[in-house]
Amino acid sequence: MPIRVLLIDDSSAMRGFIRRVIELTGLEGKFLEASNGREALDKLQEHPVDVVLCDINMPVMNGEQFLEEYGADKTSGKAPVLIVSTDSTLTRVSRMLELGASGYVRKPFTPEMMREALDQILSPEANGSAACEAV
Amino acid sequence: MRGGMIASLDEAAAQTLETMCFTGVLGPLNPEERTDCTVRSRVSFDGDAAGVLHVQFSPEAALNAAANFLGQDSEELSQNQVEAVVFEIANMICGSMLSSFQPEGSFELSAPSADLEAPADGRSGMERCYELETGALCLALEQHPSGENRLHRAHG
Repeated sequence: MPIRVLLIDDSSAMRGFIRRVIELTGLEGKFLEASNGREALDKLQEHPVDVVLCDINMPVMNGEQFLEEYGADKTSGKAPVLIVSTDSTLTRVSRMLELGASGYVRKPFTPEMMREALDQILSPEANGSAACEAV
Repeated sequence: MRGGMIASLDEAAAQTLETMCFTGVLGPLNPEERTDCTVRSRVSFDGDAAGVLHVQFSPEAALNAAANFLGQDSEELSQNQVEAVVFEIANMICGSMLSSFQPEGSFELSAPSADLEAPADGRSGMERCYELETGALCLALEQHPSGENRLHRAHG
């Protein structure tokens, strides 16, 4: 059964790359896309997903604002959020995990890094709350 | 400090090209011997470090990187697609360099944009050029006092 993935990134080129990388790792995905956090929140109201992959710096609503509004945490029952960003400073990673992100993959990333992060987040033990860091 | 920044820049460029564009860096090029790097983009950054990174590809390098990033034949690509990938690469090299150089720092990146002019001689504090499997890449880093860039829109 394919995993339902919401990709949030203001670059359509990057969304396409992430989609391709996930497929390269052998996972079958059904993808929804949004170019900012606001658009993502709107889509999530209509379409449930298994995991959200989110960039940080975007126009309209950035990744931090998205996490605050989405309210993903281990008790929410909402889909876990994996941050995918060029910024892998300790300050930023800590901040995003505090806001409810379940994992962090820094750009640039290999297919193996992405697969490992997704496996950790989607494993039954994780229950959407594992703070894995593939940075 | 300069040596650390150069090492971070070299590593960021090699990692980005190898992992995202499946193309290797063959070695350094002397800036005077480089081929004409006319596909130019820039990313400004501010925070604990501030400045501008100029990312300049030779046309064949930009096309090859874009084709590999997007998984398409180079003949199929539009100029807009090549530009979008060059912007992403600039963004990743800059963010990766800063995260590596100042892992406990804090910074914001601007949205990448087309760089209409190459940095004037002497304006760039640091210049690195690389021979790629296809074409060449040159990076020029200007450093500014923190807070000078006053970024309005972040990216990355």
